[in-house]
Amino acid sequence: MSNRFWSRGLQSVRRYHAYDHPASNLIVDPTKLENKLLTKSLEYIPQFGFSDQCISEAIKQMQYPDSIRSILTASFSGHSTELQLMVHWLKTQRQALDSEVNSPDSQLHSITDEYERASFLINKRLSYNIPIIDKLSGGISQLLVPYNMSFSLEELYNLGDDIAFHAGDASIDFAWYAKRLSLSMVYVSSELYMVQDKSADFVNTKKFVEDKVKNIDHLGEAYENIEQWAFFNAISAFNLVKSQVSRG
Amino acid sequence: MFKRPLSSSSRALQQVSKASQSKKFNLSDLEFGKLSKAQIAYLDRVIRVDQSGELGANLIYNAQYVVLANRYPHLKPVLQHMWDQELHHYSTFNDLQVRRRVRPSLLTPLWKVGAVGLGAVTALISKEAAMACTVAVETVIGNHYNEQLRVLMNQYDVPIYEKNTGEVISKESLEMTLRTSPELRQLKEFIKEFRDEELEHLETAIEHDAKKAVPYMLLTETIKLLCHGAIYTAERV
Repeated sequence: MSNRFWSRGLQSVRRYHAYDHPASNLIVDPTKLENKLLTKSLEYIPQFGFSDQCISEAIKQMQYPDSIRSILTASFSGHSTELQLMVHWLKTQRQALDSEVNSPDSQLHSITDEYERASFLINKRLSYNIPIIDKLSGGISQLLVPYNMSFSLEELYNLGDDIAFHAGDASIDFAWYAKRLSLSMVYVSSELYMVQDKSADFVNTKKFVEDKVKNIDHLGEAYENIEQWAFFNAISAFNLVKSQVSRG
Repeated sequence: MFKRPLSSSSRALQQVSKASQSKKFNLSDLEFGKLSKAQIAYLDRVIRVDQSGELGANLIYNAQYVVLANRYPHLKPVLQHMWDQELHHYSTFNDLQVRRRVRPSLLTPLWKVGAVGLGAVTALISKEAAMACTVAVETVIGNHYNEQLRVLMNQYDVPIYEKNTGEVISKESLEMTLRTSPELRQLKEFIKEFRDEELEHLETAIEHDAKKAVPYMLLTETIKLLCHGAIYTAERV
């Protein structure tokens, strides 16, 4: 597993976004047969959870022959059908978040602050979990199997990148990585919180997300303050030395 | 199989497209086809490595300016001019990196330290050594930009569709400017412009006695080697 993880490593994370070649940026290609099948299977998750039964049911409903199952079981990735279902769920929800951002009447466009946008996006993404909230922990446990970690981390990273980008992040150096990492961590912890959350309309989860995102904001500010302080002191130290050693 | 038609059939194709030339397309009628994984990956690398490279160049001139500007007032405007151009290149690639959603190099802090070090050390040796450093860096960067341009010209032949009907449009029936997507054309124009300016810096450095640096060969070859290593790493990490 570790070998596979490192060979995928940085190469597998999201790539150049080609605006003028829109077909390059599709998260899920809806014309592919396996995606059609998996998308149909998602409809049965509230009933069966993230299990193989959803796929059987989808095959039955779409009136495909049973042998169509081999499109998933013999797939190149070698994942269990349950994991494929979970990954497909994550990808379609990420696609849904993307459409939300691109729709002109989304509430997002009225928010200007980067961190408020981020918490809006995280809350939006979490709200997609509501219809399947009872079954979600089963799906999450698929992702936490060590063998599957590299794929779940990749998907998580892509979600973090989407959130950071759509929130309006413009960092050009190491902060780029720090921001995505912290937003991903906020997402994971909020999702785990949400699974346990019994409050009406998940108000506690919303508050949890907002608090966590605010913490990132404060952390970023603290870092910038320290950097400025250090830079100022470096220059004044240099000038002090210069004033003492120069003759005149 | 259709990519490399025999000469006779390609002539036939051209005749067909001449017949359909009557229809004139605007940019808004066109949809550019999907880029392959390899094409996307290459663009990803191009933006990352160019951003890191311009960051480095910018800091090299910055360090040279700090060390040399007051000692040799006649070099001040020369260095300032080159530095300003590098700043423009750097901000252009920063903008592209953010908008095209490319990750910056993970080793950005290392590039910063290395570039300041390189600029300062060569400038401290002598003003000729600083110019020799410019020669070495700009040679490598100029060649690297040329290589990128070659790939972007030759390897990005994607089909073009008519937006409403989804029909493939033959490239011959389109004006030159419509045959590549605005996105790629703009990237190529940036790279061309920047390459020319880098080579202008190379000439400026030679005019300012770069070749009188001692030991010229050792300096330039070492720096070239460092630059190649940095390019290789910044593309990947």
